[in-house]
Amino acid sequence: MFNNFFATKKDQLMIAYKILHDILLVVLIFFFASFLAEGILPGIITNHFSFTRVIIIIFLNIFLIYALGNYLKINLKTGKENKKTAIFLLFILALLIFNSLFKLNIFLNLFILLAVLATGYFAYKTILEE
Amino acid sequence: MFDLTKEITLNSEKYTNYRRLQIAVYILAILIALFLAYLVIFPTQYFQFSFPNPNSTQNNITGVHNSELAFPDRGRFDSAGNIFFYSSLEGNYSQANVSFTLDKDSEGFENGTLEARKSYQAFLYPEGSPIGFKDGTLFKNNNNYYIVSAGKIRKFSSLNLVDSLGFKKEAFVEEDGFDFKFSNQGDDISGISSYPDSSIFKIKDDYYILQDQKLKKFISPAAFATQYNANQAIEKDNSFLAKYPLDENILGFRDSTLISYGISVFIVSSGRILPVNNTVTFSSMGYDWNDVIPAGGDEVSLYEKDKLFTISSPHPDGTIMKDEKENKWYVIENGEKHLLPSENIANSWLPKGNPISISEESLSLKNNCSLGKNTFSSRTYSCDIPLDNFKPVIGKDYEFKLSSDNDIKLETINADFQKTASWQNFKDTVSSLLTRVKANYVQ
Repeated sequence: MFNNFFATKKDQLMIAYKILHDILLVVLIFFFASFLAEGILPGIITNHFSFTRVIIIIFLNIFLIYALGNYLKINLKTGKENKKTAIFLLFILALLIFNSLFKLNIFLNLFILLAVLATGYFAYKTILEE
Repeated sequence: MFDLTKEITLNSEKYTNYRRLQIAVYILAILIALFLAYLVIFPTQYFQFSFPNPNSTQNNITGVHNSELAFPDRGRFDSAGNIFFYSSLEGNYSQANVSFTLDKDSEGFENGTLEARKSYQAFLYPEGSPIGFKDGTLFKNNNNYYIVSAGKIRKFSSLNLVDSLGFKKEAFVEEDGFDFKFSNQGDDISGISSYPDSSIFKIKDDYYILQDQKLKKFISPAAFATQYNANQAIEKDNSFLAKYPLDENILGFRDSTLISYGISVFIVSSGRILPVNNTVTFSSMGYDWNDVIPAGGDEVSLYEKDKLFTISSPHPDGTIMKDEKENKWYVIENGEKHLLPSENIANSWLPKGNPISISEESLSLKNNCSLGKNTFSSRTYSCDIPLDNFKPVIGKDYEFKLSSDNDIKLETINADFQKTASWQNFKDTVSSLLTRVKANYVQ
């Protein structure tokens, strides 16, 4: 009976683990869309709710995935680097930086943008690459 | 449907449960997204004021005062008086739910009523006496020539004297005599030995005005142009500077002038400049981007930087307002609005730029509601005040006037401005969002 109970509980936790990934995707899409909208029209989102709450939800979600993964001894293979997504995200990041400096002189804006991207690239190479 | 964690396998029964739950999560996400879109498109704006904490940064109801124009100490007001307060917001709303929480020692409201009207806060100021021409104005009437000198109208004894002193005849505005009564009469000007106060001079590229028989310099021609027309100035050479002592104070832009420095826009007000916090405030105040004058570092350094100018700030002193329909002009000074009785007088105060459009009808258009006790809180009284008929009214400030037949002690005021879901409100919001995007990227 107990074995059955733990087996059922384990299945439920497995379902929870899978669902947490879906929730993370939804919250990240929401965060991403809100960030874009806020970049175009400051206050359109933050007038109604704070980004802090969304960030707390994201971290809570990641923590739960991590904790459940450890508890259930799930060891997912590290996926291949998705270059297309990375380039797309970098493009959006560049647009957001350009937008935040929109009122500056365009050449100064582009210079700062290139400097930020170069700094980010070298920081990535130094910290994450072997 | 996709599975983000394909590596984790479940038996078919559990997998079906997961799929059902996954569909529920995505449907819930769509519903939450729709709800958030609803909040953005049909927003509710919240305002509050706490009498125990009147200086709290959370207070966004402004200008709380009683009938004596004083702050009601600890929220007390008597039956003979009223309490006034303002909420400032962009766009049109359908209704406001205003609630008052009473201090625990206070009696309940007896016939408590709330009245609302909409305009600009400064235009809702009490009306002071009309104001005449600005110092330095030149005008003529029946071939007589006049200058407004140190607050008095002074007549030139002859046309030859006007020529001898170097005034340009085209600078004298034709006047029918109506405006005389709004300024005091001074002595006639008969000699050429000295210039009357408020005479204006141009020496090289610099402009000066004579005040107390001292020459006061304008910081720049751009600053001068906000106060006077160039043709009012008598052209002189450098030797003229030896005839009158120079005043150490320098004159800047006209009060309420909009200047830009870098990416910031400031409003000049009584020797200080107020930074405008965002484009929503700028457009909500009725300002025109074409009236913003680019300023240099020397011009900006003349002023002390003051606190942020937000949507809750009233228009500063020196602001000129105009009712296009009635063709009436007003100037804001020291917490009062003053009629500028004619277009000539108005032009003497605003030689360049646009006035703020107002509507006199807004003063008489009022809505009201009777306060009722809330079901769940015995100390809270509230009522819904309709705002739909305020939509055509120019302005961003709602003035509320609270009355009661008995003495009351308030603890908090809350005002929730709601936009009901309707096609018209949807179009209004979308239009407002597009205007804001345009203001952010085009200006």
